[in-house]
Amino acid sequence: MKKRPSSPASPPPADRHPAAPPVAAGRRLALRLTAGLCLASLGAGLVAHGPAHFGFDGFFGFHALLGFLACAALVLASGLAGVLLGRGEDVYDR
Amino acid sequence: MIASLHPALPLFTGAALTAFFGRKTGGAVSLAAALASVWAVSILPGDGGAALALHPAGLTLEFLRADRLAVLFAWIFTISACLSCLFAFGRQGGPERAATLAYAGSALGAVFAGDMVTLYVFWEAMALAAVFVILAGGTEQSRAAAFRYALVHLFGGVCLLAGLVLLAAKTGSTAFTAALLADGGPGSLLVLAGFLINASAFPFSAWLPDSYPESSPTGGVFLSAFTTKTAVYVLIRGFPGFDILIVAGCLMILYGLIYALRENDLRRLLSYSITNQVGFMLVGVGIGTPEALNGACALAFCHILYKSLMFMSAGSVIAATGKRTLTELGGLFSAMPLTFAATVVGAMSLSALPGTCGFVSKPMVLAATAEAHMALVWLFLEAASAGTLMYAGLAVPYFVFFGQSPGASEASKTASPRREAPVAALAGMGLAALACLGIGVYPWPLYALLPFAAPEFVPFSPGKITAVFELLAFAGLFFALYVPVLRRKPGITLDTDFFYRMGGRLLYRLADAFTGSVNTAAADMAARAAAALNRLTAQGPQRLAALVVTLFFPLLGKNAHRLRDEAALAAQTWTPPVGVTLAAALLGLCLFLILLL
Repeated sequence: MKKRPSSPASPPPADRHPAAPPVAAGRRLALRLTAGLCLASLGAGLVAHGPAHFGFDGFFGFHALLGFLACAALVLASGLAGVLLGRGEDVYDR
Repeated sequence: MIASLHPALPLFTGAALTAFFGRKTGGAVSLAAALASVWAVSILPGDGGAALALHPAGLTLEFLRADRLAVLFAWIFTISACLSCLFAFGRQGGPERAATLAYAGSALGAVFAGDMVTLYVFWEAMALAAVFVILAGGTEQSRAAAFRYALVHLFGGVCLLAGLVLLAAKTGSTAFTAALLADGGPGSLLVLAGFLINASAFPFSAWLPDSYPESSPTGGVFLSAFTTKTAVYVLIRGFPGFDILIVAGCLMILYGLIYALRENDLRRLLSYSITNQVGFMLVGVGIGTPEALNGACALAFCHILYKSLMFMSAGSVIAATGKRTLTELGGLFSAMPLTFAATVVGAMSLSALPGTCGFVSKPMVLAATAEAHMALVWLFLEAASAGTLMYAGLAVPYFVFFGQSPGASEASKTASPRREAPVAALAGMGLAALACLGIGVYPWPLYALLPFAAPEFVPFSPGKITAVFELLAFAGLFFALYVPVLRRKPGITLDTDFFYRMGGRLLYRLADAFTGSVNTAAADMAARAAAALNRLTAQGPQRLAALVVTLFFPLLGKNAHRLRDEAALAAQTWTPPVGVTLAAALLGLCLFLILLL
């Protein structure tokens, strides 16, 4: 029986750099997915906006802005905590 | 027909029996005890009708105050005990099984306690049982952590006892009611301090991430459910509407967020998350309106479910890999897909995603905050909800099951197991996940159990869903954009336990230096006394003989010096006969007795 020649490796997708590792590709996919979710949430917000309790929370995209800025502020605060309080794992063993 | 059975009794009976059996039979005994406690809760009237009290020495010890608040917490405690026993089936040693059942039984005893004395007894029993659960971790670290846990909770228990005594002296009553604790005096403040220590309120919060991660993979599931939620229960019953609890809750939320964002150890991260979520509950208790208190109850109920689920999945991962830090873990999705699914359900419930139990409970607290016109607190809680998705909701599933750290060793990258968690563990996780999702889509049975009279909360309005969707989607976008920044690094962040760990070490060194110097001085004194005694016994007789002869020098003439030397020599070398020595001893003894009588 004649052995079929093995097919050549499929070329990488056009939007992916040939040298890009799978992790980078996965991250790009995650970014696209979350960006899509963000757009969808903003679209849903146009249809049904969340309840405004205090006035300042009534503008379009309030929760989107709050979600993003809160995460940024927390990362900055935890970074500062790391500078001030971060130590090696053996700090109590010395 | 049994009218009512204290639900803690089956658990204590199980604790007494289960240690005598092997792993599987003992696991079945534990599970049967937990199921019996669920049945015991189901036959309680739930309207305060059941009561079991004793009256020794003028005290009223009320063991079974079964009102709606107690029954709600009893339901979730017993359900959680069942799920945890199922998860741990066949994997716990006898002492750990007994300790975990005693721990759950003590928590139930505290929940049904109608007076402060009964509460104190079960409170301390719970702390003691938890120490043994931590000790069952079986490592040097778990022994040290159990010791520190015991010290902190002993201090909390002393605060509670002192407050109880002061209150009883002032009011003449040991009843456990909000009216009695509302006077704001030293007694009630000490009781509040005792409760807050168990709730892991900042700065008494470090005991939780210090101890829970050192327990066994199964023990951590039990620990995550009872201590802090019992504290939430007693705060709801004893201190509703105390403004200070709003501040304490916000501090706990911020503390939990910041430390969890930096934490590399998987179960320490989840422990900080407990403090973070209990902070939400304390805010609800502090507001004190029926809506807020119902929100705190509902959140406590759901939190026990989803945090147990996350501790189960973390325990499964740790048991399967032997690794516990996010930098060592990663890439486990293909090996443990069912554990991954359970983790996702737990993480999304924690993040209050629509369709999960977090979404139908946490917004109750936020809505109560808005109704109380606390704009800053509301804004803070909304922001913290976004942060929850970032520090745990996405971080735990991603770093454990997908993204391996670039710095992870090749050995850890290739060491991922090719097996799932055991069947019983998967069953426990599956049932907990189903409960999280079931309550998330159909919360009305939970709402019917809530104890305070308030308009029923409406979770599923389009506006609320889109607001949460928006908040979480953009928090998710932040995570996807900055995941390299959010990747954990080896190391620890100093916590408030630094003070008692290093302070304890300093105290030990000071005590060591002091007692060492006293010891040296005492040894020196003893050596000198021994030398002096030696000199006295060696040279005393001859000097005494020489002195006696010297007194008679004028009578002895020219032989005086020779006689003195001979007397000294005789005193040094003469050995009296045994009979003479015995007679002298008897004579001395008789003289002593005569003088004494």
